[in-house]
Amino acid sequence: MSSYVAEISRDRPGCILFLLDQSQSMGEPFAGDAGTTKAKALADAINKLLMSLVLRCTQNVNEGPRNYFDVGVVGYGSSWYSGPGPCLRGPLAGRELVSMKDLADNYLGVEERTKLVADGAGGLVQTKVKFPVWFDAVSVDGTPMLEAIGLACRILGPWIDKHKQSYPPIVINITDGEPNDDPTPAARTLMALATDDGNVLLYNLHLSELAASPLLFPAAATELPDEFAQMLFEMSSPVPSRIQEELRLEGYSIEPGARGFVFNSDAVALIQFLDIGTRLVLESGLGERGLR
Amino acid sequence: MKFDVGTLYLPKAGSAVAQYEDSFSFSRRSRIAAVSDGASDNFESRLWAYLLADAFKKRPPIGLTGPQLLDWVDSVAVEWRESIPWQDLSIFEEAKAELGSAATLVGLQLAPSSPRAIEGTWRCLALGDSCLFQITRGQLVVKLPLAKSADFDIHPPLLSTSREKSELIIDQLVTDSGRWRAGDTFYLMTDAMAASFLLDYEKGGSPWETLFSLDKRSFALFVNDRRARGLMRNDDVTVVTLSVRAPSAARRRQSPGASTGAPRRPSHRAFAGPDPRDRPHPERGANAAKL
Repeated sequence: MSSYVAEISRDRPGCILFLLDQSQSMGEPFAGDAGTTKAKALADAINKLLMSLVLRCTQNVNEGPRNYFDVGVVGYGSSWYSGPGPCLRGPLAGRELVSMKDLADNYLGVEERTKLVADGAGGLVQTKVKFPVWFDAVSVDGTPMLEAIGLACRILGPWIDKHKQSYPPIVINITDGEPNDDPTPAARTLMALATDDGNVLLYNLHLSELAASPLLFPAAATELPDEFAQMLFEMSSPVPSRIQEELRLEGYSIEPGARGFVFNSDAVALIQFLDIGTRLVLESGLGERGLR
Repeated sequence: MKFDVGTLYLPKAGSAVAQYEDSFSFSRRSRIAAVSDGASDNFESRLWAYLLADAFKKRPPIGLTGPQLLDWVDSVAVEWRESIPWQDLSIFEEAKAELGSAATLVGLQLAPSSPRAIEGTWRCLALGDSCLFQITRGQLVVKLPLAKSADFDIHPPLLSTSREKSELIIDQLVTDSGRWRAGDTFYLMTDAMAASFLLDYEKGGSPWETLFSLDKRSFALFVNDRRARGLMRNDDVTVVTLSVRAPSAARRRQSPGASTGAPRRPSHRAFAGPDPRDRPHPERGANAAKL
């Protein structure tokens, strides 16, 4: 029986859980850009992704977003006193998983950003866009990835019990450095959790401090530069074949056996990775036509 | 020339009728029918599909070139934007609405060679994966714009409320014309049924005979059975049937493969599907109808 084909609907929602490294080193520059810390770039990217998830689920006037997904955001960096935990703020503080409606009804605030858009005459024009935020950048302490993945197991176990027919949960772990302890055993436990449609998908992304060439979706550990990268590779799920096909259609070079892993990510690769990790699941999983 | 029109539609399994995002229209006087399929993850795509199908009936774009069709779509998009209550939108609804909406469109117009003619011509316009099929003497003689079940994917070209987006796909517009004779039947349908129709045909079946025999209730049973057996995607389904009567046997019902025939389904003068603007909006929260 094939896996990763379950249709995502409100009766059978999907689940996306982000694990975010909030260690002290996340306060350092991102990909050689002295003006942006890794923590700030990550907070922006996740807030933007939460916005895009709510938008994808918003389809009609006065209907509110349809709950195609439950979402959680766990931060890890403060193990000395409280351990990893949910890091959405405001009314959603402390919630491990929230619905799309929860997100739409409970953002912390709205920032105004400028964005370049087509002016309809072949040029670009600056326009202001509203940018809701649900959590802030944090960079505080160690890298308790082991505990964070253990927490993911405890969050997703009960969710899976209630959603056996759903597309399996997707866990996206984003880190910039070596963890305090080897998280591989906990990652194996996490990836062994399964709905009827397949095992939990664990994707990993490594943020680079320096400007370096990102390595996207490698298919073999031999391409990787060190043991840390190889460890993240080993604890990354293979990309489901339907998503591999979609990626090839979009021009990515994907070898058979490609893992959901990016090493030395810059800002562009971070956004691409988050987009791919969520959007393509929606397109493959929804029994409806997607954005074209 | 007399013809009968039948319509059958069913929302996606688990969806309420208010969440049905296909639309259709027809006019017996103008001998026109159209079907449109709103892209589910766009904003107010059920409204956009309705407006496209309705505009096809009122101002048929048959014969327009690509640039002319873009102007026609722009005029419909104005109506879509004016129907959105911008002042009442949430921050998320506003951002989504600004991205616009998108839908397929297939439309057909028949022309008799004379008022009492038993033959004539047809013209069709199609963009996307909503399809037109013509049955003549028990044979499937026209398949537009897709001819094989394998041709369907999740990324068909769509007409957008944004001219820039429509410009990107307008070269995929399909226009065609042909001849009809009394006894012919035309089917316009959205993608899930069209793919299933072609799959059945490729296996040697005559799916038009099955479709022709269905009423509203048996259509729902038929669709749900095919969905359950994995022979049809769980999507909104719409079929509009135009059957050209043969004068000598107008009252005798036969299958579309025969030279004469009239469908059992009620035949209307004109219709444009349900207007989404007339529907009560599903309530927010726990009482909302489920997908």
